[in-house]
Amino acid sequence: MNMANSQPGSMMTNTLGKAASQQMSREVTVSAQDVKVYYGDTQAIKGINLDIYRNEVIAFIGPSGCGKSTFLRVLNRMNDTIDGCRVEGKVTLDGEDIYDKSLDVVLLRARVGMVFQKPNPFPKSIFENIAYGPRLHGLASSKTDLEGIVESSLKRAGLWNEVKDRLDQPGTGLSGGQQQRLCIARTIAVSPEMILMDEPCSALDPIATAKVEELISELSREYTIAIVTHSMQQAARVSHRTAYFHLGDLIEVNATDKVFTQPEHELTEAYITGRFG
Amino acid sequence: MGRFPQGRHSSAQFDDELNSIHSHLLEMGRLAMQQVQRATTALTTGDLTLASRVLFDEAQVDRLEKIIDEECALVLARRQPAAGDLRMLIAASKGVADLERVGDEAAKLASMAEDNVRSGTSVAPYTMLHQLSVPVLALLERSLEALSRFDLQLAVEVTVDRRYRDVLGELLAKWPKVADRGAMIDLIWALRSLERVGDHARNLSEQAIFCISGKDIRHLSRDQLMDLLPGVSVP
Amino acid sequence: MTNWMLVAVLLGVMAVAYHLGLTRSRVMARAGNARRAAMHSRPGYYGALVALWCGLPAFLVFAVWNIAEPSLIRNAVVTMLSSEAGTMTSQQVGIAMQRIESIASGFGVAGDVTPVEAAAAAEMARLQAIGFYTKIALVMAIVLGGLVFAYRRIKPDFRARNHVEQIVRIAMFLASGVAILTTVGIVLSMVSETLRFFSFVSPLDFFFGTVWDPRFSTTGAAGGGYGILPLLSGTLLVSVVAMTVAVPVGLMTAIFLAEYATPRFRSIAKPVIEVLAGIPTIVYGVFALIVVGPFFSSVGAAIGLEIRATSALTAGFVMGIMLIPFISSLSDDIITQVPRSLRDASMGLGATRSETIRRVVLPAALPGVVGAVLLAASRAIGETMIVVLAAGNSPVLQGNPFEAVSTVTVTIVNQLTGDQDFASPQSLVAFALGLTLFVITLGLNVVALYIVRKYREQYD
Ligand SMILES: Nc1ncnc2c1ncn2[C@@H]1O[C@H](COP(=O)(O)OP(=O)(O)OP(=O)(O)O)[C@@H](O)[C@H]1O
Ligand SMILES: [Mg+2]
Repeated sequence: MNMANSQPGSMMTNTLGKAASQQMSREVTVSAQDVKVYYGDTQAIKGINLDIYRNEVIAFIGPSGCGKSTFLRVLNRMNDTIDGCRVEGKVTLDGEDIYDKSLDVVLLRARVGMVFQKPNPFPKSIFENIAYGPRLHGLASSKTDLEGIVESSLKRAGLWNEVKDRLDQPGTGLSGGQQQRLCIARTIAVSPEMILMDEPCSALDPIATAKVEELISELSREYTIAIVTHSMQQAARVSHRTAYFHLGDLIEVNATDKVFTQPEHELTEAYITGRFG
Repeated sequence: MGRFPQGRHSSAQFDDELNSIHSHLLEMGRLAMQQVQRATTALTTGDLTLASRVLFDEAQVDRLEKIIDEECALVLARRQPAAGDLRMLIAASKGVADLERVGDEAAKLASMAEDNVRSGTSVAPYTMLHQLSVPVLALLERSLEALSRFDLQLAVEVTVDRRYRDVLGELLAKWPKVADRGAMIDLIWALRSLERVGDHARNLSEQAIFCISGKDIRHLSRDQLMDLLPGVSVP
Repeated sequence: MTNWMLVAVLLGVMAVAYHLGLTRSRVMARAGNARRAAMHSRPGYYGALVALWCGLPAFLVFAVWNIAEPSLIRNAVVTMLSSEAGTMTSQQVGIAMQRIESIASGFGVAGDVTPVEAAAAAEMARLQAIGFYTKIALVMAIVLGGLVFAYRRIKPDFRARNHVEQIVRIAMFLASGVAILTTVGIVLSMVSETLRFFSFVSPLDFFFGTVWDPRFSTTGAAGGGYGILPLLSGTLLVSVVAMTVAVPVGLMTAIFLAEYATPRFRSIAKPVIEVLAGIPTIVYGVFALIVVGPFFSSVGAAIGLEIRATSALTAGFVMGIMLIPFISSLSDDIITQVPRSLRDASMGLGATRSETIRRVVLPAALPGVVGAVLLAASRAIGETMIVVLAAGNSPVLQGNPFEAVSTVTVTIVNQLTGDQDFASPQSLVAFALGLTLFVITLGLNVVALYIVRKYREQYD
C-alpha cells in the first residue's frame, strides 16, 4: 500500500498492466453466488453468480434500471441503508461471508469503499474530507500521522499538486472533476481492498473524465475496482472484464476486449452497438 | 434497410450510414468483377474499345474506394461502433483494398490488350485465359454474394475453394508452344493477374467471415477452421 | 341594500359587456380574410377588456362616491344646524348628528323630536335621495361610456391581450400594496404614539430604568417607574426556560423522525406532533395554570425548593412544549434536506448512522437549525396568553425562574385593559413596549431568515 508516488508514463504501463493482470494468477476476491435483491415485492436482481478477481477492473454495463447499481451496492452492503431492500444469496469477500450476522458492516465498508455518481464531498475543508474516514476508524495515531495519510491519499488520487496550498478550503469549492478525485482520495484514505464506483464520470467533462480514468488504471495495480458506467468507451478503456446486466440478470461476463469486438450474447451485442429497444 | 442480421439501431441515421457503406462495397465489387470480365474479353478478342472502356472505368473503382474509406472513417469518428458494427467497418475497409487490387489487375489486363492490338499481336494464345477467368469470376461473384447476404456458409466455401489454382496448374502443365517470347511472358502475367483476382476474392470472403462471426480464419488449417466455426460445414 | 343592488346590476352589465366584446371580436375575426388574418388576441381578451372598461371606472366612481357622500351630507346638515341652532361644541354636534341620522333613516329616537331636528333630518333625507339618484345616473353613464369606448376600439390590430395583462398587473400591484401599506401604517402609528409617550417619560428612564411601577394618576401625568428592564428580564427568563425545553426535545424529535423512524411511524407521528402547534395558546395557558404550576410547586415542596405555582418556570415550560413542533418540524425539514449523497458518502466510508448524523448531517444542517431556533425564540418572546395566565405578573428585576415574573407582552395587556384614557402615559407606554418588542422580534426574524436562506443555497 505504499506506492504513494504515481509513476510517470502511465499510458504505457497501463496497457502493460492490463495485459499483465489478465495473465496474473486469478485469485478470487469477491464471489457472489445466486444473489437476489428485492425492493419490497419487486425483484431487482434475479440470481447472479459472479467472481471478481484481485486487482482487476471489472465494468458493469447495461440499460438503465437493469440492476447495476443495486448489485454494486450488494458488495458493500450499502443496500442496508435502503428501506425495504432485501438481499438473498451468498457474497464472500476473501472467503468471508459478508452477509453473515457476525460481520461488522463498518469494517466491511472500510474494506470495500465506494465512489458515487455525483461528486459528494462533505461541506468541510479538503483536509477534513480526507481525514473523515481515517478518524472514524482510528487509523491515525497522531496529527502528523493523519497529515501523512491525507497527503498520500491526495497524491495517489493525483490531486495533491492542485490542492496542497488550500487544504483548509471547502471541498465543495473544487471543480466537478477535482471533487470526484477528492471523493476517490477520501475512499483510498481508509485503505480499502476494493473500490466500487457507480458512474463516477457521468457528471464530468471529457478532460476530467480522462483524469479519473487514468486514475482508475493507476489504482487497479493496488485495488480491485468494480465500476458501473453508461459509457461503452469508458468500459472498453478502463476495464479488464465487462459484465453485461439485463433486467436483473447477468447476461455475459468476458474479457472486455472480447465483449466489445465479439460479444457472445446477442443482447450484449444489441446493447453495445446501440440496437437496444 | 434492416439488411443487417442484428436488426436496427436506435439511431436510424447510424443504420443509414452502415447501409450506405455496405451497398457501396457491393457496388464496387460488382464493378471490379465487370472490369475483370471486360478486360479478359478485350484481351481474348482484341477489342480495343472495350479495353479503353475498362481503363476509363478504373477511375470509377478508385472513386468508390475513396468514398467507402471516407464513410468508414466518419462512422468510426461519429459512432464509436462496437462488436458487429465495428467488425463490419474493419471488414469493409480491408475488403475495399482487395477490390481495389482486383480493379488494378483488370486495368493491367486491359492495357495489355491495348498494347497487343497496337502491336498487332495475335489473340489466339490468349483464348486459354477463359479457362481461368471463368472459375475466378465465379469465385468473386460468390464472395460478393456471401458479403451481400452475410452468408457465413457461403463465405467459408469461397475461402477454401482453390479449384482455380488447380486450373492454373493444369494450364501451366500443358503449356502451348508460343513462338513470341514477349507474348509468352504477357500470357503468364495475364494468368498471374487472374490468379491474384481469385486470391483477392478469397480474402474478401475471409473479411466477410470476420464481419459475420468475429472469427479471424486467416492462415488456418481446415481442421482449425472446423473447430473455430462449429455448425459450418467446410467442404 | 340599494347599493348592493347597484353592484349586482354593475356585475350583470359587465357580463353583458364581456359577451358583446366576445361576439364582436369573433365576428371581426371571421370577416377578416384569411391572409390579413384574424385578430391580434383571442376573443376572450376583447370580451374581458370591454367588461373591464365598462365596470372598473364605474366601480371606482361608485366607491369614491360612497366614501365621500356621507361626510358631504353631514357637513351640509351641520352648516344648516349651526345656522339655525347657534354654535355648539363639537360634542354637542356629534350627539345631535347621531339623533338626526337616526331620524332620517326612519329608525326613530328616544325622547321628543325638536322641530330643528326634524327639519335637519328631512334635509338629510332629501340630500341622501338626491345623492342616490345622481350616483345611479353617474355610474350608469360611466358604464355606457366605457362600454361604447371599449367596444369601438375593437379592431383586428388592437392589442387587447396586452391591455388586459397590464390591468391585471396593476391590480396585483395594488393588492400587494395593501399589505405593505398596512404594515407601514401600523409601524408609523406605533412610532408616533411612542414618541408621544416619550414626551412624558424620557427614553433613558424607559430603556434603562430598573423599576416598573406606573402609578395611575388622574392628572394625566406620568407617575412611578417606567423602566423596561424588569419586563425584559422576565421575557428573557421565560424564553430561556422555554428554549431549554423546546430545543433539545424538538431537535431530538426532528432527528428521530428524519433519520430513524420508519416511514409509517413518521407519517403518523409528524401530524400528531404538529397538532401541538395548532392548540390555541389560551388552552396551554389554562393547562399551565391549573396543572403544571401546582405540579411544579408540589415537586418543589417535595425536594425542598420554593417554587411558585405561577412562575417563569411554569410559563416557560409550557411555552417550550408549545414550541416543540415549531422546532421539530422546521428542523426535520432542514435535516431531510441534507442530501442523501452526503449520508451515502459517510456510510460508504464505514460510518454508523449516529456517527453520520453527528459528523455530517448535523454540521451541514446546523445553520438551518439555528435559524429555526431563532424563529422559535422570536415566537417565545412575543407569546402572550400563556404568560398572562402562568407567569405570575410580578414585574421585578430578578433572575430566579422559580419566582413569578412579568413579561413585556403581559404588561402591554395590563396597561391596555381596564378604564384608561388612551392619551395617558399609562396607556401610551404600551406602544413603546410594543415597538420595542417588534424591533427585537424583527431583528431575530431577519437574522433567522438570513441564516436559513444562506443554508438553502449551500446545496444548489
Ligand atoms: N431504492 C429503491 N427502491 C425501490 N426500487 C428500487 C430502488 N433502487 C432501485 N430500484 C429498482 O431496482 C431496479 C434496478 O435499479 P438500479 O438502480 O440498480 O438500476 P441501474 O442499473 O443502476 O440503473 P441506472 O443505470 O439508471 O443507474 C430498478 O427497476 C429500480 O426501479
Ligand atoms: Mg445506477
